[in-house]
Amino acid sequence: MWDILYFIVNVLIFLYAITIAVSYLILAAISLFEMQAYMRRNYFVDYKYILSSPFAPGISLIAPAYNEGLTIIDNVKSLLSIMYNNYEVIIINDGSKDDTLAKLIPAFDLVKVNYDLQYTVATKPVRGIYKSKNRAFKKLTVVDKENGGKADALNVGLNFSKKDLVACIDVDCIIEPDALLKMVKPFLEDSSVIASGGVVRIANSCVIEEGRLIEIKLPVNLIARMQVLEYIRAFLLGRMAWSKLNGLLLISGAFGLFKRETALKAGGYNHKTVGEDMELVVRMRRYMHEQRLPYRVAYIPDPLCWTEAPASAQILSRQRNRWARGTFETLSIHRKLFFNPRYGIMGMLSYPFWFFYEWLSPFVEFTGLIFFIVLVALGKVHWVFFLSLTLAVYCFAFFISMTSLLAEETSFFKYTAKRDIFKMIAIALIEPIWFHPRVVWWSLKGNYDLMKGKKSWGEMTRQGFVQYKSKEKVAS
Amino acid sequence: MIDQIPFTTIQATAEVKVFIILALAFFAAAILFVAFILISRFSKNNRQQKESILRNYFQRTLNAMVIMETTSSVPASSHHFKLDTLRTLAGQSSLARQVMVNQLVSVKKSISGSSSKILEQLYIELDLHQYSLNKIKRGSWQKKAQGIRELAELGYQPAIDTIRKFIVSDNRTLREESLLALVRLDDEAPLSFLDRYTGTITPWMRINIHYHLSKSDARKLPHFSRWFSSSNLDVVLFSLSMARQFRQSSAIPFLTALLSHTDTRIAGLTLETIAALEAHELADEITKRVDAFWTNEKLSTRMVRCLGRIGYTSEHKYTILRYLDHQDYTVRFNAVEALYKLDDEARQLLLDFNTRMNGILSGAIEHVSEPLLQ
Repeated sequence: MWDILYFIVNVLIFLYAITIAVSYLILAAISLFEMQAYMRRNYFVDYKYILSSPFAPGISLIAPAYNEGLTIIDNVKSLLSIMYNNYEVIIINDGSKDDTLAKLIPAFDLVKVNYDLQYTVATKPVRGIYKSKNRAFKKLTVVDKENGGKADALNVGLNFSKKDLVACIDVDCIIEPDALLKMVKPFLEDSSVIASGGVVRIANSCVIEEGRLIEIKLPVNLIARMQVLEYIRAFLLGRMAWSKLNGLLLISGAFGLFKRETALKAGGYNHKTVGEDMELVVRMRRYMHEQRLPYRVAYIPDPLCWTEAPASAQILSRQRNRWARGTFETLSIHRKLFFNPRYGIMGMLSYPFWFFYEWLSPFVEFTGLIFFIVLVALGKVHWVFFLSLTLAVYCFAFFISMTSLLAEETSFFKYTAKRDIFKMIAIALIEPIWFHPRVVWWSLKGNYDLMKGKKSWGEMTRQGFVQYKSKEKVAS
Repeated sequence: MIDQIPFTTIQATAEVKVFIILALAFFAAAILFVAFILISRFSKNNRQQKESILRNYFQRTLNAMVIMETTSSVPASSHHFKLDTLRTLAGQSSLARQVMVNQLVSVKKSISGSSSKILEQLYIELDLHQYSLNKIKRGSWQKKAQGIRELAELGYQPAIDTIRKFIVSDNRTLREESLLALVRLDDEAPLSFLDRYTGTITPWMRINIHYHLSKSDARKLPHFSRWFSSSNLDVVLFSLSMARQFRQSSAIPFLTALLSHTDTRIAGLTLETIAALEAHELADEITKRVDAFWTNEKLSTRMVRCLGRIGYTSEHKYTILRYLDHQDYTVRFNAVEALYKLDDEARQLLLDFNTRMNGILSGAIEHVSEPLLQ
């Protein structure tokens, strides 16, 4: 009996490991190939043509703000200085308890206006809509509403917007000045594109001046530095390949561009999940499939958005806990897709991949660990076998990390300091044994919390970016 | 202990070997990537340094030559001397030639008039046009597209026939580059390719072509209405949008037929074009089509917007008024806006309707009357 159980568990875990490794290798190969193709295609692109064109589609930048009083003015100024002609900035004050709205009103000369807002997607009530008396801030609208969470705030933005495209962003992100120009291009090239996403990078330790990225640096903090490698791997290797296969299920909530009409027809953001970014993309895709309409979810490998990553284990654990819950909630809501050929690549490939290798993997890893401890206790471990397998897995992890660095090097080459490459190699060597087990643990805890009924986002305290001016003051 | 587990020792050893080989293979590949990254950094830095030296040198000489050409007091021998020096430099490496071309293109983007012509002349005198033409003849699609771009940027018109061959290329980038090059180089008939064009014209291409057309002499632009009857719907959409953008009132008589087009995108864009061209004479034609447009929200919205711009008789205003009952909010809102902004009579019709309907449109009326929302 024991031998049979032992054999089955061994074979299952082994098969799982083999398939996951092969999947990653295939995704990495597709990504590298696609990255080069993208670079070649875009060599000729002059984005300034979009900037001055009357044919550029209108974009609404929707940025929910909750208790952002400390940085809101700089953040809004940054959003107002983005290079694009036909766009508006909609700040949704999601019932902030601090002085977010009180700071915005005098800073941008805002007054309440009569706006006939339609609740196309049901949301918490809007208390007021503000526009600036100053023509310089004509693009800005502030919507004050009762607190309802990020998804609810984004839905208010969708209801408010009159433009063809909506860019949903985190208000505290640093958006590259040409980000909209790059993000909008897939919509111009292919009318079937319903959403496009870009690469999110980590801005910890980078030098920021008035909402602009001045100098790119690797984070000093080790936890943040680990996430740099993790983000490069996820964005450059994973999503690039899924985009090529038209199987991308996730566009980062930090910055994504959507066709407004499709987002509304699909029902807008889901209030009931903490993974509203992934859920919307899946629902939009599902809607298009069910309507038998051709569609594509595009992906731009350019670094377009810079965000502050959690720099402490405590805050990172909350973020990963939320991601785990969001993943399961989305997979659960759309369980109909699981190996459903009616949904094409999404049903047969993307969804199963997310289910087995994103959601299930922490459980498999944890089960493997428990199984190993039991074997050690029973004295049934073949140590040579174990060590050689561990070495193979470790080397594979290192290889995948180096592949992602190679993709970075041959494309956007952002970390230019010579020592940065060595720091990244060191991180790649440490990460599988120091960082990854913690991520697994936080994911497990997230699933446990979900079973207990936890629905909250968890407080995300930020340290704030290094401000160039304050640095200068310190130096003098 | 090994004998106690179900795998035999031989099996375990074979597996261990496989794992160790895999580990070594992955590790070696990773190290190879690291080496590649380091070499890539080294060569990138090296190339950047070389490029920078060449660029600075070329820029200095280029500045001097442009100034010399515009100053009659400088002897011709000085010009020839500098030209010979640059020719020698260009002959040394393809990197030098590419830097020169890039620099010419870059400088040309920031200047115009006679100085711009000097740069085009230099491009030919330094034989760099031949360098670009060679790329078209022998290179990969990327090189070909690069060569076409260079020839277009530096206005080398004799290349038109060579470039024309690529408008049917399977490669999308190459096809687009050649179309754009023709628009830029062919002064006489920049859009002649549209006559027999069967491919797609994406909004991206529309933006690019419009950018180049807007830089050319408006009097030389073709009458876009000549393509309104094209069998290629993309060509019709493109020509409609260009007629609107360049405000070609000569297109107005041809727009009536397009209002009845089976493709709703064309009918919609026709309504926008009529509004933009303020073709008041077509208001009656539009009014006749209320029933045909009613069930399509997008067409209805465009129709009320259009009538809001060009309507002038009571019949036009009553037609818009009908749309206050439309099932779609966007259509109703646009009808409110159209009536509110059209004239006093239309505004009164709107207010009377709202009173009769117990103020159902008050929110929309307040919205459209808000100065900060205009």
